[in-house]
Amino acid sequence: MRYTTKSLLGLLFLLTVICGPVHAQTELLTKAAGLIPQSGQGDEIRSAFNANVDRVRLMVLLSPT
Amino acid sequence: MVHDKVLEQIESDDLAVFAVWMPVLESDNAEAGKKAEPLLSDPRVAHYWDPDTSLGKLYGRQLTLPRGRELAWDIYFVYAPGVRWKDELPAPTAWMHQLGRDERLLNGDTLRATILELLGIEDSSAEPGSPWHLKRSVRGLPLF
Repeated sequence: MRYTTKSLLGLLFLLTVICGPVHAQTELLTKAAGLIPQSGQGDEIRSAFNANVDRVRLMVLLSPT
Repeated sequence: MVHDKVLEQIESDDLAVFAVWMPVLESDNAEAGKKAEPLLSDPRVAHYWDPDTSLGKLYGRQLTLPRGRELAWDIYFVYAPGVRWKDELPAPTAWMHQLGRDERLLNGDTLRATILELLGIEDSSAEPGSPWHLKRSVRGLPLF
């Protein structure tokens, strides 16, 4: 019984360690891909990026101030 | 810098620019992001606001940034034609930054030349025999 409980706890710990960062990464990717133009019009950034696949693309990340 | 060295000097419509404004400093907010748009005023530029700095964090995980930084900002990524953004953020063809002094420290002329090379346009400002010309000929650009 003790052995089973310990195994389950160990498994839970491993799942947390493995899945936590993966979940965080997925969430970041989803948010990043979903960025929409400041004007509120046009494509999401990933769509726009891929729509311009035949072009050279420059992506700049900046602080406005 | 991007405006002067890239947008003003490269007229090609085969260039698309994505300007992602994000809150890094205390004074940064969505309104400031909107006000910053004229700094990169050009029909080829699409402006985005990243309230969670999610894109900067993603790049920060993907790349090794100076001084162990985890957030990518004040940073410039160039992508060659054909690169698609699928399930993962695509690795840039070349990139530069202003996060610290190393071989990738932003240089406007180098950035412009990198883009011109990918566009297949000869850089008229690079004189044959100059150090810069040699750099280009050996592809000494800070590619990814």
